[in-house]
Amino acid sequence: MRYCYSILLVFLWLSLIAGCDRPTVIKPSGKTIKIGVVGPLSGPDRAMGEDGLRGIRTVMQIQPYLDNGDKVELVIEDDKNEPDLSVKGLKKLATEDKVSAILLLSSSAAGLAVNELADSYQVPVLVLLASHPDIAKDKKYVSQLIFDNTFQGRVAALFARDELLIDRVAVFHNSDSFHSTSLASEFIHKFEAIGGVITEIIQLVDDTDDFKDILERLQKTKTQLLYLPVDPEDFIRISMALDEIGWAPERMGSDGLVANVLRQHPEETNLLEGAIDIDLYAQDIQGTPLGKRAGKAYQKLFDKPGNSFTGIGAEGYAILQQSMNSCTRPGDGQCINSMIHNMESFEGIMGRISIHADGKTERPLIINRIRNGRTQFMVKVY
Amino acid sequence: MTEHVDTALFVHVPETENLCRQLLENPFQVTVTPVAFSTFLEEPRALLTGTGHVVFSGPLEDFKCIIQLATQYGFSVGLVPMADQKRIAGCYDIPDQSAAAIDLALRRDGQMVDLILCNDEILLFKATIGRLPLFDVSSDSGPIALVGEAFKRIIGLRLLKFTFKTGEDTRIKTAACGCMIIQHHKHSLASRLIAHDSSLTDGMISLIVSAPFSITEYVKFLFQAYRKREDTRQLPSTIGYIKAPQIDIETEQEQVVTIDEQQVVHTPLHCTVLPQAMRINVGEALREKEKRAQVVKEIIKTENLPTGKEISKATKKKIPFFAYASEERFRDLFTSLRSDAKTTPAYLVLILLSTMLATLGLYLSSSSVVIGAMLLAPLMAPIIALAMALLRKDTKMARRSTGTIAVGIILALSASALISKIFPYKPITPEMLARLNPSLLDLGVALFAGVAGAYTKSFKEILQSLAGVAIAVALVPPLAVAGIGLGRGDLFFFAQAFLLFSTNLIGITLAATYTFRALGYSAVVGSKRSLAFVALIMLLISIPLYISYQQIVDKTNFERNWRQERFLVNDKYLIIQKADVVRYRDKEVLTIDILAREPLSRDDLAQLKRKIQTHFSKELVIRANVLYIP
Repeated sequence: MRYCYSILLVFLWLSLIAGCDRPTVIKPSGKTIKIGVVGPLSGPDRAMGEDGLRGIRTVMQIQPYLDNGDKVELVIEDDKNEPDLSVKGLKKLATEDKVSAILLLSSSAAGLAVNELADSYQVPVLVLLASHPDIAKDKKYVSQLIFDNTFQGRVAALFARDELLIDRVAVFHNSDSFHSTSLASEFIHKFEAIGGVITEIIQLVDDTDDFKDILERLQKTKTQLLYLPVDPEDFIRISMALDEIGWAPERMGSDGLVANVLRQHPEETNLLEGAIDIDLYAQDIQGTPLGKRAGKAYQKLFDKPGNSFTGIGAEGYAILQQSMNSCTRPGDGQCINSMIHNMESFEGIMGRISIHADGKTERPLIINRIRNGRTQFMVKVY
Repeated sequence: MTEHVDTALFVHVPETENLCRQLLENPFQVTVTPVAFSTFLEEPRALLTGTGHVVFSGPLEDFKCIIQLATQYGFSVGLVPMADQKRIAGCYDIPDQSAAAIDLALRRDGQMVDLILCNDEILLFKATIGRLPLFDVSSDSGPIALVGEAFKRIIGLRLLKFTFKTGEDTRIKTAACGCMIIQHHKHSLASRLIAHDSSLTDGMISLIVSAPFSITEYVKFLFQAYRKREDTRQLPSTIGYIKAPQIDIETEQEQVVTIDEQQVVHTPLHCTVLPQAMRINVGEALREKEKRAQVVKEIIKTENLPTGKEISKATKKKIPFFAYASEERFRDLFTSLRSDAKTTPAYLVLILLSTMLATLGLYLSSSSVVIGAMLLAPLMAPIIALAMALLRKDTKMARRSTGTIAVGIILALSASALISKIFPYKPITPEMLARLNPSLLDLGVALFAGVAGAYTKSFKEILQSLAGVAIAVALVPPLAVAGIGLGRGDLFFFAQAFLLFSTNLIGITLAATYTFRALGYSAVVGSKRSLAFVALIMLLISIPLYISYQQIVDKTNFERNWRQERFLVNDKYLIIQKADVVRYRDKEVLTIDILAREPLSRDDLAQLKRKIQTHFSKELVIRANVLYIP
């Protein structure tokens, strides 16, 4: 009898051992590879840079060394989200610091400025947050991790028309923002192409403050949805004006809206209630193994809640790390660039990501609705 | 208008001397003469001259001396309890505050109460013999604290031989772990049992006898006592109750008797009651209750206690965790199980009929026909018999039942395989497919069905529920599907269905064995080796069942998630309405229903396929049904 129990115990023990996923221990080689990070760490857009950098540091904490034991050192340049400073930062990192690759956390204007230079320095640049469609276009050393505005604008229009069954939309955009204008343009183009009616296009300038008048006018035109790829401050002002006039049409924001409002205007979060949010992630979707590990590590390291900027920072660094690990010499910029441009089915935070040879990323876009200050997943569009 | 006595003696001990001033300055114009307890004991007659009332404050043993003197000299007694005498105060319904207690103690209208003497010792509240864990625990304790305390105290509990004799010369021989005489003991589990029948003035002695056959019974009793409403008269199943003016208690070996929590005497114990022996000042509520007290006759409720042969059996060992039931007591069940274990012509006919019905029902995909076959199937009976045989190490019954089950399996497989071979019409129906993916959930069903089967078989009055158990566990349809697999020459079909049948067989056997054990059909598991073998097989089949369960969970999640997937293909927005993944040999086939507003070209479908393959790790064979919407 005791013999039987012993066999049983050994069997169970072996099953447990077999089921354990033990991390590989990497022996440090003593070498260091420099990776540059350019992003706004001061100024009004610093949330993008600070939160993105937290994501990068989270993945570095999970695996501090490359597979060959080389250590990765970050060289960080603050560009205040200003294109001139982004270009200056890129030059410094490429020429003085001799970094092997650069992660860019700035928005589209900075991204476009860097876009022009990356090839001449032959340093791979992974653009994390800039979604302008021209980023990576005809560039050998630039890749764009976020879906571009063409995809986002079209999906927004098709979702409104085909799933929300909306016929009449008003579009707001910030005239001084590449991101905002290109999204608005794509949306309008697609929505009209599929038979929808754009009731009005409202171009917001710095001194626009008559939101009540604009909205009352739109209400009379029987507008059903407001497409709002605008600054978080404008989204808040429009939502307040809607409350004031007692009108509740559907509102649809663009990528980064929730992260920006939660980070910069946490006291106004209630104004997002009920809005449709286009994003990279959703809070109620189960993450991939990388997502789960990163989530746990992030909670240990930082006391602030994570957001889309954190997530894309983590994903960007994880892709870079995998590319470096795939190269015989992990610091070889050309090899890293080649690996990034052939990244097939990389398991990101919430799903698979593929980066094609043209530097464009194929990744799902997630549409959420904001409920009780949290994103509630609606659909995922590939 | 309450009246107070004119004069009173205040008998105190050094600890209660501080009450003298309060009593001397009482607002009721009672002339109080303080006197030390020791002085009072020396010359009570002289000190009682001119007064017939004594107020006492001091320890319990001194109070008993005062009571003895009260019965001798006929004075009435008022009591001012000490701070730590909450139990005495509670019993006589005396207020906590000293001023109110003094007011009550100086009153004229004392209540005549009975006095119990056990071996000439005064018993005021309770006397216990043997071990009675938790009887005296406060009934105000929470259920969790009560269970914890119960387990601590009941380990090693043993029944002792007792003989009780009442005043009417009734002799009761029994076995019990202990007994308790209760005079007026409030707020304990024991007092709750007879709260409806408790009185200080009925001239009777109340005795509670506890005789649990097992620890589980004892715990059950504790819960019953805990939940018992004071006005209900029904006693828990392990309790005996005797009420008589005189009770003699004898034990086989001398036992210590604890009277009012002091070990003062040993058995044999002779207890008698002195009716209306003394007058004591009690609270208003108790006085009212005593007014309502009825004259009662002798009560003897001992039907729950062991008698005859059961006494010597019960006293041999410590009480077991589960109750032990003798074969005499469950003769009917054993006779029925022995008959179930046999391979009879009726069994063979029923197996054949039920298999044929099940096979045809499966081909027709008719749930009602399949359920009918389940009801006809006689396989449950020998499995339950096997469980009992393993429990009681009844080799003969084990052999017979195993043989009967084996014959049943062979017959069922052959019959369904033959039908499958003969019939030209051989579709794979949903009813068959439903039996090809056994998982841990099926094992769970089998385990619960095993418990239900054994439980139902144990009680004649619920035997009709066995049909429900048979439907729940469905033994014959998986066998029929396995037979169809054999007939088709498809070993995967056979193996999966037979795995489901084996899961049911093993799950029921194991669960039924332990259910019979819990119900007291055996003190120990007889055939430990055989049962360990069954458990090992169960553990082994749990591995494929677990894998299968994980696959079901993954499939469900996958299909659910797919309903929220969308694709933008060449600027066409495709909505996934439904997705279904089916494993076909080594491939997974994804069938999706797509809603589209525009016609899809071959290029669109190729793009869609590429996107699906890119985003999902599984190698999928994709099938799409496109539904165009305006």
